[in-house]
Amino acid sequence: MCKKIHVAKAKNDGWVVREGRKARPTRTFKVKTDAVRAAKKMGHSGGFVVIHNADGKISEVRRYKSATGNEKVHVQSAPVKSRLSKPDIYRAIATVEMKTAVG
Amino acid sequence: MDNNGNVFINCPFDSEYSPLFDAILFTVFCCSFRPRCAYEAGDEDRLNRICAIIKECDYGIHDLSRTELNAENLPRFNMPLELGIFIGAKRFGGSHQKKKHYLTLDTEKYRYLKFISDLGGQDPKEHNNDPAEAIKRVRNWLKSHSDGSMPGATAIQNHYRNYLVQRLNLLIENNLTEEDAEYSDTTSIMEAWVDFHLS
Repeated sequence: MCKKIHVAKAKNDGWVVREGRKARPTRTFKVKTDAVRAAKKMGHSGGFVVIHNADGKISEVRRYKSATGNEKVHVQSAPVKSRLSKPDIYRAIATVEMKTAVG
Repeated sequence: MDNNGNVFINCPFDSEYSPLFDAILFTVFCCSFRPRCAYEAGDEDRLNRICAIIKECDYGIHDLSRTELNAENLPRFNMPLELGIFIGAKRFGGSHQKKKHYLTLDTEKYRYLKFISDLGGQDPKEHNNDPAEAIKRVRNWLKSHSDGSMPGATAIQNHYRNYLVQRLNLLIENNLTEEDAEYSDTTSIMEAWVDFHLS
């Protein structure tokens, strides 16, 4: 499964970047924008960057395709145009996943 | 996979059949193929558009399990018609069309011989109206046409169960209800779900 890199508010101060929602933080930053930038850099090799607000809610999910195409499942898009945007759908999926895991 | 990976799904689009349709659609995504179907065709110039979609598909899944009489006591001929077009393209088309492959599904293995006996000698697969069985049949058939790795049938059945558990909440998060959701919405959500969880 391709990696999911989360940017979330640290318990004390600042922002953390971690691979997996509950994993130990890989890096810690004072400001969110630096954390997001680092997460995107990590995500460029393929995966999802999941950005949380300070209250924990997911504000944005970005999909980065692997340049080498080494995903286990290479999903081929159906040629239909939905009124929903891809980023909104991914945000919804990550949000439901988080709620299900917590519940 | 030695070609475009487009899979034409020929099946009814009623609510009674939708558990099977969704299961087949989900499996096609999980197996790294691209689902196509008559939903893309719209109402205008429909037959020509369906033919164009079939032309673009190297694979076809044709479910003949719902050819019984409809509410007006008339038989449902769309599925046999589209199967006939697919077979015709394979039989009489150019060299690329001749490479088409298709899977025929029905509720029971040889039931089709009672209403479309000219297909005798084919090897249809039965799904017993069970989405889990449909997943297994479709996955194993696609695997026989792919060199790539793909999840096993049991894994896809488990993922599909998880997807169904989350489905309603996914619609709500996208400000949709079951009634509002169109084919393009549910397909996009399903496709992204498979990408998020399996890729």
